[in-house]
Amino acid sequence: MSCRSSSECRNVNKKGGGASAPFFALLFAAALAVSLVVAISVGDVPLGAGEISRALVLGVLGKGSGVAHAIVWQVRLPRSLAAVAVGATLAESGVVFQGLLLNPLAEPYTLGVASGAAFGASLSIVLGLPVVTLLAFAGSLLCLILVWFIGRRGDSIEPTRLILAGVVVGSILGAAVTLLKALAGEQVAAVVLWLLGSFSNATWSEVPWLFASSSIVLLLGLLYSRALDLVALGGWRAAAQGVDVRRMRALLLLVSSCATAVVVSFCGVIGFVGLLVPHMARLLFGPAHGRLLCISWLVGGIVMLYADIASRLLGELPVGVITAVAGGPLFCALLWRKRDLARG
Amino acid sequence: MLEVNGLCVSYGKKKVVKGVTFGAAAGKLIALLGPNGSGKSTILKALAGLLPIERGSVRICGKPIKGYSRKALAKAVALLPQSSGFYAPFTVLEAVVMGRFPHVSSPFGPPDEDDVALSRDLIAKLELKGFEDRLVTTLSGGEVQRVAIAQTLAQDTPIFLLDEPTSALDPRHAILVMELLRSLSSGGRLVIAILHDVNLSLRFADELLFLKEGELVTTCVPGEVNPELLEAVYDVPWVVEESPKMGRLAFPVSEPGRRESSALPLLRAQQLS
Repeated sequence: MSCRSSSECRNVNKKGGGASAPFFALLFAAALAVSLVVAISVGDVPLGAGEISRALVLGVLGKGSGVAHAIVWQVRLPRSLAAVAVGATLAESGVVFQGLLLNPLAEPYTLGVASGAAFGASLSIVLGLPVVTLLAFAGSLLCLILVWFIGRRGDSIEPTRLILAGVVVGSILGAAVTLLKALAGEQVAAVVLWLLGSFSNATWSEVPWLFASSSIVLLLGLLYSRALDLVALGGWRAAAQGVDVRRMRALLLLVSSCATAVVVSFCGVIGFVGLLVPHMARLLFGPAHGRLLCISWLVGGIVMLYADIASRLLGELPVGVITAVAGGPLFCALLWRKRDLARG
Repeated sequence: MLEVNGLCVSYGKKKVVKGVTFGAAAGKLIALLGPNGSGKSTILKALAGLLPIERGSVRICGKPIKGYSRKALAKAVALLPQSSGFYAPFTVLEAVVMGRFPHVSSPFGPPDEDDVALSRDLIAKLELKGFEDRLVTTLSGGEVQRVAIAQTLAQDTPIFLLDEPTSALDPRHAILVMELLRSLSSGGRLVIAILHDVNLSLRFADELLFLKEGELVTTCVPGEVNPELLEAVYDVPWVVEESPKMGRLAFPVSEPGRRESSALPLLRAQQLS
């Protein structure tokens, strides 16, 4: 019996994988490279492709100088690379969370790392401590540990219990952040701006941390991609085929949450990318996690680059606002078009 | 091939399996029967290494189950879990190929040609040919169950444990599956299947294991099944009759104390009884 409609089937090649996934991965990689050039060209001082290439080549050779070189190497390249790494980390962490928790609404912030970071950063700003990133990271980890211990039942990790623990702890910390904002006085604007996320302060010192975070999640995710597929198909089934579901779930959730904590601590809470990009990738390329992780890494990077470009063009509007304004309606449209999204 | 000795399994403080002992040789199809909550699924999960054994021992091919790594055990024992629904929209072929997981060494990349060939063969045997590109989330309950069976059989293990493999199937596909399991056992595999259809068990199984309240009531061959045994297990009267065409047939009687099954007149009319 053949497929009755396109929503009921997906063409696979003879090896059983996605027929066009490698082609699209190359296409998205090329699109990411082009987007990176576009991102470097946009700003108060527009730069042409020729100027950018010259500045990049001379910079690599250690011979660069002048305004274009300074703009490219000191401002826009680190900022754009930070945006790529943050987008990639959030998107691939979203893939991991949705796959492991069997919940289409799961995202990298599900275990409360964003709430913890928001609380830590707000506290630092309100108290005037010059350690916003450090306190944000500490807040993320503390919140993660708290959620983990509340959500665990003995040795086992139940997805529903973990999600509920994340929601409860997130709500409590959300109230605490609101209280801090009320007490912040003149600092309230700084708190709000940090909470909404921005790459305006990104520097080279952050880029290695951000890329390390995205790389660890990607590599670990790829290592467990077949096992993730089995878990997505059903927990008992994965265990019956030799997957140590409990160990894998703990390892991947904790590593993804820590990577998310790193990016949130540096760049603030940027929503929707970790929720939306995995769904977009899944709709286009199916639920196999090897493909999903690679495609989500690239698409997450591209989406975040354009969100940052829009932010700059709109006078440094917080990136979190851009992703929410663009992502919300897009997510609704996806839900409307694909009724079986929830099953993904 | 499989030795179970004094197996005890508990969920928290509740003892679900209480000292079950049996042995099973290669080349047998064994039906595990009993009322709901008698511990059948728990036994299969314990034999597949998915539940901790509280007391007793399980030996597979002479080696204690605790001596197996997860992956080594998955190469020796395949389990079809009771809840066979699929959450993620993989295609039928992708889902069946996933059954090869214990045998695959590379963590990612396309599946091996031989694994795909084996999967396609099982898809054909379960009458799912033409469904290869269909998403498993769009299939009917019976089709999903056949995909799940194909995935389990793709594990290609010496021992297959199947928890109600025919529960969602129509009679034709139930017979198809039982004949496939029969051919596997004839080929030297050990197949243990939980079945609620006593007649399928009588027709296809080499041995029947009856469980009640976590204890093994008896082990017997189909010819030894009688109304007293079935009533003792299921707490409902049964009629057991020999049919020249169908062999031994058993029917529960709807009203307690009434020994005449409503199905018998129909069977007699069709000269089956």
